[in-house]
Amino acid sequence: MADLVHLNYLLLNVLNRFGIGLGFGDATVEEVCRKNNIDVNFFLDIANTYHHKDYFPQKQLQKYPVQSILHYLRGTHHYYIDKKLPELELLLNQTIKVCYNEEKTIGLIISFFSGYKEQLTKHIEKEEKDVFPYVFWLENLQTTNSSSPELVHRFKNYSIEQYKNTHDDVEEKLTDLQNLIIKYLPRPCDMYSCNKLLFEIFALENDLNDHSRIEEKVMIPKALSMEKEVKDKLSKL
Amino acid sequence: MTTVLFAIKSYIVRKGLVSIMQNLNLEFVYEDVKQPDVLLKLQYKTDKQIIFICPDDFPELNGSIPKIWGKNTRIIVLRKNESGSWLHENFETIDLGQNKNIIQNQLIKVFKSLKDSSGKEELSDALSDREKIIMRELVLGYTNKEIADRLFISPHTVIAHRKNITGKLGIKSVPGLTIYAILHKIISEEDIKRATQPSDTDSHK
Repeated sequence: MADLVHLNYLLLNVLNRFGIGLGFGDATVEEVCRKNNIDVNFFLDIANTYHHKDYFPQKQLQKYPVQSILHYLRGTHHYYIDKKLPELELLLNQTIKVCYNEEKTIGLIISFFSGYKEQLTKHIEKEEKDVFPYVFWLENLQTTNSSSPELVHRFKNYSIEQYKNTHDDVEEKLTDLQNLIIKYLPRPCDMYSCNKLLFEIFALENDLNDHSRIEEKVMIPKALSMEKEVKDKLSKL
Repeated sequence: MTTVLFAIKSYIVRKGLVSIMQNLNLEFVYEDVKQPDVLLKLQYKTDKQIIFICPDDFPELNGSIPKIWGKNTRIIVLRKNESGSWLHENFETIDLGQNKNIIQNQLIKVFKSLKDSSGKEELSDALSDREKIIMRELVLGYTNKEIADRLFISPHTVIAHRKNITGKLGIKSVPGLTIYAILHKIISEEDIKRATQPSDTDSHK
């Protein structure tokens, strides 16, 4: 496991989301996973997709249980909400004040980021509150043969399709922010601080890209196919 | 959709051109040409295509590339240095030593010249007056449909302008465009405040 971190230290993010703490000595990946009750194949697939941008075994990933996929996605959500966003906001507010003189520029950027933070937080809250429980519910239905009126009603009112169509592009504004700083704001007084800020914004963007890819290419298609199965079953009753 | 063919041996040059075109939001698919005779058969295609050729990589083609191609095909010769310039006289040339902005503008023009007759507006890195007007409207919070109604143009035209704005600036979101517009004095903060206050007398609804 330690070799993995040496190979790509960004995988520490993945370890974190799986709840794997440091201090694992010379234990192998398999040993660490077993100790933490993690499916080693799932861990390896996720670590590989995180490491290689071009590697994405979509069908294979869709085969893992909802429980595993959502657990990982939730870990990522916590990281954004509890750690990354507040941390980045603090860094941005400090850096912008050091880097730019004009009050107007400072105010515009600070309020841009705070708007972004709010949007991303709402987006995540909606997923946690509505979408994830729905996907869990779908998986449970696979094993039960219920056809209650409540069930039919729920299907009439919601489909994962709705979520798919409104899954906003949460990385978009980060790219805008990068371009504003790189291309359009005045020359910063402190290049070092400004670079540090940009590194952090790029890192969050990459991480979000990876996260959205799992939601869009694994969770949504999996939920869609479960939805179809349940609906087919219902129509035959 | 435009097909882009690369008759270029350098991986870095191919990769660089693809990344510039992608950043400009140009729509294309691309493939690499490994055997020079493939190029000679291509002229019969009717789809929109752009062929980038590095003449130094395919000296055996000397003289065999026709000067005149269909109106859906553009041949762009890439020039790395002064040597081996057997194709330069007949075709448009991109000088790889140029700065990125110039190459970007050349590429935009090539793509534009392949497009259908709609939207003939000249593209450059700076926003056109029309695009600035559209940007103002966006920043004031109007939707595509509302902008179309207010300016008496079709929603498709609004979307096309938006795409061009985003392509040129690398900024997509309305809050991002707002900052750009204020910094470049396309709109003032007061204008935005006035427009977003519902009780205003010159409300636009």
